Amino acid sequence: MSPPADDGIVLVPATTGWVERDGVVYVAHLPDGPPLVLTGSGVVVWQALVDGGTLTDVGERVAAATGESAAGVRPGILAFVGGLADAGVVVVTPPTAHGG
Amino acid sequence: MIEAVVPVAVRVELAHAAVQRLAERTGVDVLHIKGPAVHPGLRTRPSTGSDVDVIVRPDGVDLLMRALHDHGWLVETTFAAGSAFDHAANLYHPSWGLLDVHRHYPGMDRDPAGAFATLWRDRNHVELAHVRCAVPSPLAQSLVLLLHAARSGHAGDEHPDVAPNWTDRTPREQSGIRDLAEETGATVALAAATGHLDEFAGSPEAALWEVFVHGGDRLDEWGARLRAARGPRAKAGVALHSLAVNRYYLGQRLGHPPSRPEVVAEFFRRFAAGGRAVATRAVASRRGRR
Repeated sequence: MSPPADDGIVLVPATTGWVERDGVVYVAHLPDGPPLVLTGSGVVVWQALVDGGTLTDVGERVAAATGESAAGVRPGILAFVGGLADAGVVVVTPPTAHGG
Repeated sequence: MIEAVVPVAVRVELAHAAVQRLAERTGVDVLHIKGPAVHPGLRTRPSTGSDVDVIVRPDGVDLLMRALHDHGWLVETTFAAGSAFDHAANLYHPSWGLLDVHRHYPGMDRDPAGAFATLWRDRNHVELAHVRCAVPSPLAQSLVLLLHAARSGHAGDEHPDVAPNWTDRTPREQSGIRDLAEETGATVALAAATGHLDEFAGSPEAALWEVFVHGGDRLDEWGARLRAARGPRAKAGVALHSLAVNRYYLGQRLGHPPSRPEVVAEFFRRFAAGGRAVATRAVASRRGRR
C-alpha cells in the first residue's frame, strides 16, 4: 500500500455502508463486507472525510478537531486513508485525475 | 482499523444495506421490512431481531437468489422447506448473519405479484447504514406487522405489535389498513390479527388462520391448508407437501446432513404419525358421539 498524495480527493463511494454507534464507526464495503471497526482517532478521521474534499481538507478538519497541527497529523491521515482505500471503503482520486 | 465484534443491531443495519446494494446491482426490487426498516413510531420496543427481512418482487426472486449465492450467502432453508406458507428462504452470510428472503408475504399470498406492486407503489425510503432502502408505507408496514402478529399466535391485544399498529391507530388509519388489506388479498388475515376472524367463520381461509391464532396440531394445520388451497392442483400440492421431508430440519435434529435412508425412514415416520393422528381423532370423535 502506498499512501495517497495529500491533494488527492477522497470520497466515500455508494458501495460503502457505515454506522456510527456509541463513538465507534462500523464501515463495510458492500455487498460483501466484512465490517471494519474504527475507534479513537480513526473515528475522528472518518468524520473528517465523509463530507469529501481533498486530503489536505481532511487534514485541516482533523487538526481543528484535535488541536494538533495540520502538518503533524498529515502522515497519519495519509497512512490511515490508504488503508481504508485498500479495504475499498473510500476512493482517493489522484490529483492528475481531477486536473491537479 | 480491525475486524472485531460488531453489535447485532449494527450488523443487521449493515446487512440491510448489503442486500440493497446487491439488489440494485441485480436490477431486482426489494422492500425492507421489520427490524431497523420499521418506522420508529410503529414499534413499542427497540428492535431486537438478529435477522434481515426483505420482500422481493416475485419475478426477480430467482435472480436475487443467484446473486446472493454468488456473494457468499448460504441457503439454510429453502422456500419449500421453510414454513406452512412456503413464503421465505433463510440464508446465512459470514459477515452479515441471517437473511429471510420473502417471495410473498403470508396473508398476501393469493396474488404475490399484485400485492408486491401495491406495496411498491406506495413505498417510502429509509437510510440504513447510509444506504437508501425502499420500505413499505407506514400503513403497509402496520399491515405487515399485524399479519406477522396473526401468525405468532398472539392476535388480539396480546401481541405487542397490535397496539401501535391497530388499536392505537385512528379510525381513518384503520380504514386505510383495511383498504390495503383488501387490495393485497389480506382481509381475512388482517381479521385474524385484529380479533375479528369470526366475521369470516366457515370460510376455508379463516379456518387456516384459526389454527395460527388459536393453536392446533400439524394435522389441524395441514387440514386447514388443504381446505384453503384453491383447485385440485393446489390441493394435491398441499397433500404431497404435508408428507414431504424437510431435509434441513431433519438434519438439525440428527446433527448431520441426512442420508437417503434417513430421509426415507423419516417419510414413513411422518406417514405413520399422520395415520395415528387421524385414528386418534376418529376414536375421540366416536367417543364424543356416544
